[in-house]
Amino acid sequence: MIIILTALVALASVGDAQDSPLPELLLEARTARTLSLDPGDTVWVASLGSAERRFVVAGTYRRPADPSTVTLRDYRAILHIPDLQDLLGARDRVDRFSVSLRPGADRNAVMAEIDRLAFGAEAHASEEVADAASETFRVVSRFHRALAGITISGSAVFLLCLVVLKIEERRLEGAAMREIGISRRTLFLWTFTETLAMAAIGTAAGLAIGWAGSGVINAYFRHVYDTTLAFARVTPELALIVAAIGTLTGVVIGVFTGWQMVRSTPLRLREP
Amino acid sequence: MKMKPVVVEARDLERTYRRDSVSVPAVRGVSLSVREGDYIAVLGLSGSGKSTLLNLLGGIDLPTAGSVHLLGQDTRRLSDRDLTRTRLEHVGFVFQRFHLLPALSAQENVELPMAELGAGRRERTARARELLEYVGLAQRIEHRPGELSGGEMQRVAIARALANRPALVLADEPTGELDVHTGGEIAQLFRKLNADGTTLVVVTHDPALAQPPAAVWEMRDGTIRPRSGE
Ligand SMILES: Nc1ncnc2c1ncn2[C@@H]1O[C@H](COP(=O)(O)OP(=O)(O)OP(=O)(O)O)[C@@H](O)[C@H]1O
Ligand SMILES: [Mg+2]
Repeated sequence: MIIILTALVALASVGDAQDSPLPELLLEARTARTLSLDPGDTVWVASLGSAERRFVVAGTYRRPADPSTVTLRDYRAILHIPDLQDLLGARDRVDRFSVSLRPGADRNAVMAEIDRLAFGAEAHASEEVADAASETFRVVSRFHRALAGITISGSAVFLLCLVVLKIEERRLEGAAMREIGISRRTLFLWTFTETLAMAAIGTAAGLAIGWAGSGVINAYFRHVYDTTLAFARVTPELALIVAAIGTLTGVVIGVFTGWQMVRSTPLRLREP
Repeated sequence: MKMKPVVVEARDLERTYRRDSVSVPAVRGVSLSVREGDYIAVLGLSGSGKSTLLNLLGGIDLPTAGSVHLLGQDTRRLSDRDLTRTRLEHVGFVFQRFHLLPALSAQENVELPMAELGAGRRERTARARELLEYVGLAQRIEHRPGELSGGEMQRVAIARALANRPALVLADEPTGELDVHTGGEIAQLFRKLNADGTTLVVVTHDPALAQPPAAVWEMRDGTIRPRSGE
């Protein structure tokens, strides 16, 4: 059996192997990299107040992809329980255990039973635990949503400005089209379609950039933290929301610009 | 000799622009008739009311008093929609600044008024090519306005004006943006148009456009009369 050693305070590399076989430990891959340790190396390990002991690095392992620990810059190793007990000078004890229920089992009843049986034990539903652990991420997520909102509003205003500039630029063209006999309806449709197309292209480009950007971000942080976690994701739901917002913005601004082009007479349109 | 039918007729035409309390009489009591096959060149100082008159004749603007009968219809009695339709079907416009759509090729620009009228693609394409050939641009059919010179753009605009076989072509300073040589070529093209039966009213400062067979009219302070000696 193995357990994670968190009270690890010192790890140091020493030279060659010894006559009598040394106890083995597994090093977390990042720890091994940071300390330049390889399998086969010998290390001194001590816990607070205990004597140092020598171990040989049997191998490395990857820490689980857990967002709450991924950024921690601590050292980690896994020891065999007897070695750990030895090192700590304390007997093995269980702080936590999980109980998985069969489908249909009454969770509350089980929790009550555990509380009754083991004095001092506290049973929590897994969601509660996850919930408590996720609070930080929820705050971050809200923050991201706010940023997204600001970005989207900003882009919409940007599109509006672009389009308004474009109308200014195109007033004479619009006037000339009306003069040669192009109907209000046709001119409205042209302008509307063009604006909608602009919005659609913008949306598609935004999605593409988002998708490529999340790829880059993931690749970078996966490398930095040596994890399989996803740091940024463009989910289908997100893409759908973006497309919906893009289309809606395009339609609203398209109607606005189309209306600007056809609401007055061609002569009015010519006036500055 | 039998008189040719009237295409557009102005009677006691007046147009006063009003802005706030200021009123500018731009056209004051103009009466004239343009008949089929006419080529009328309107000269006059800047601000004499030439563009205003042209807009009134083409049904782009409506008179303050008096009337314009365009192909027998009083422009004031037509709805905006009908007036637009009349312009599309019967009047060709040529502007000083060409006003071609930059995203479309020469051919597509010429096809535009035909498409608006509901002509089929094949017919449109054939006529656009024929017209571009007529104005001397057979080689530039696929080019966009940005890839054409001013003179070439104006040729495309002229082809566009002819697209729906208009009864009347109105041009406002069609050589105003062109150098003398290119302007001369456009003037020559207008003479060819007229020789082939197109009725023309051209507003201009350019003497090249006022050469025979053009009948020259002069505008002064909103009134018009034939140039002395004609
Ligand atoms: N939209 C308008 N609002 C107010 N006044 C106008 C407007 N358009 C023209 N005018 C005035 O009417 C008069 C005639 O203008 P118009 O444009 O018809 O002259 P023009 O003979 O075409 O001049 P140019 O040779 O410079 O083009 C001018 O005094 C002009 O200032
Ligand atoms: Mg003018």
